Amino acid sequence: MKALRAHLHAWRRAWAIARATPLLSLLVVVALATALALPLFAAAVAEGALAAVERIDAKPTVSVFLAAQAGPKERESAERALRGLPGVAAVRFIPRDVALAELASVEGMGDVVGGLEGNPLPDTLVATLADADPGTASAVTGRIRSIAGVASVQSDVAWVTRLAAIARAVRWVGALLGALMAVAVVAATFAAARLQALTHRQAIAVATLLGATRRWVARPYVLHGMLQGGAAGLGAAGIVAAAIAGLANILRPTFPSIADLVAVPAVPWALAAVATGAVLGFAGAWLATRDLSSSPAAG
Amino acid sequence: MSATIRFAGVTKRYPGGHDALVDASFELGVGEFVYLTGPSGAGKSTVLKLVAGIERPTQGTVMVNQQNVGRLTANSLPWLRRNLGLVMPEVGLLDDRTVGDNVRLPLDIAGVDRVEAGRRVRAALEKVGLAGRERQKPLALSGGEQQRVAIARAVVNRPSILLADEPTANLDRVAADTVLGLFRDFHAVGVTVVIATHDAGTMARHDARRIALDRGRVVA
Repeated sequence: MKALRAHLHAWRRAWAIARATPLLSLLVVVALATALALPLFAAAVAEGALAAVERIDAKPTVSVFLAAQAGPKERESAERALRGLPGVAAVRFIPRDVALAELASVEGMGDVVGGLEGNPLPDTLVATLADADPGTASAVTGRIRSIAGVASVQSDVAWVTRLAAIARAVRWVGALLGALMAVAVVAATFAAARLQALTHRQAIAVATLLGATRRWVARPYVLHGMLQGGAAGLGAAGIVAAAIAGLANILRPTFPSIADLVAVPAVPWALAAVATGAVLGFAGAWLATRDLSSSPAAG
Repeated sequence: MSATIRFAGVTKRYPGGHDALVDASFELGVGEFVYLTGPSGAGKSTVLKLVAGIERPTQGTVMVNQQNVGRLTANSLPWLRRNLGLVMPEVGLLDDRTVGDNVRLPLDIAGVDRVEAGRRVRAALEKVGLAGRERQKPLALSGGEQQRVAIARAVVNRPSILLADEPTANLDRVAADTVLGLFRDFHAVGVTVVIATHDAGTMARHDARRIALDRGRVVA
């Protein structure tokens, strides 16, 4: 019961610290929110890109464009050879007329296709690969090129692989930024807690001489640091949500597929940001108040 | 009468080589009322600081309630202090808190229930003649009233030992007698009271055992 009362008293004192130094507390929250927003933004973009890659990875394909002079025999021969390659799950033939019709159905391309004198597109065989492993895709495309009647080969696995690599790089940068910003957040709450403790040094000295333990003295500052960190996490989630929504709105009219890669962080993201901020704020304030009353006089 | 405070061969040397206390030995029994007397620099305040664990002896042993204060760890010192009532310049009133909050502080530290704490704060303030002044700030009070608030805070946690350093300094005779009367009242209910003072007039009007110090040595 006494422990509970001590905790309640510490919460009241933490609130009193915030009320006594409202501007300092607010500025610290703003600084921490800004620091947390950067890695959170990078992580949100990376996660969006990786999620998109996973969707694309479901059916990796290799497009095999046949030579213009290739006849039905060459096409059948190429299709047979293609089906016999290890790593190829299925093969679909798209005649050049169908391909042109599909192209004409794309918004804005009808006029372009209509202006053409003939059909410049080749017959195409689309091979669906068994997996998105870049090694498999590379081996399959290498062998396809040697098949008679094949003009060129294009694999979307390469694009997916590149996107995944970029997403991983963004995530790595986000993690690095996150680690650096975590240190910055701890340092900022450390400095703020020190400053607040210094402004209350007389109260701390008196409380210590009246029998307060180090933990009793430090707890309100640690809780205040934790509250500041949590508020900063919430603020960072808000900043990132607003930034991503704005970015998506700008990109969507021109680059809808890219706009879809970035998504506003969901509630678990915001909660994770709040929890991370609170833990970092707690850590910084705890470090700052470890030696608040280490002298014999202070006890 | 068993000893509640015992100094055995205590020397306190401050950084710089100044000996504030030299080979001091004396005992105070449970429930005693004692004046520490002597001129400025005699070592009176140092004795109180050693009892409260604010300073540690350079040599010798300071025992308080059967605990060797010099050997107490930082973690155990607070528990000793919760049994002491301090009226000392080092433990001043907090100007940004109300009189009630100042008096309540030892109870908050001890984890006393808020309702019980409120009752004890009112009782302590009533005892020192400041009932109804809980919401005022210390700076709104006179010097004598501030001293009485400090006494209320010192006794609110029902300590077994009350230490006061020059509690009547800067007070007129009436205020000084009021303050001394309060210490007498607490002594009457079994509290050990140790007052460091060089106010001969007050001591003459409220006679009690005296331990005289001069340049760090116990002389009487």
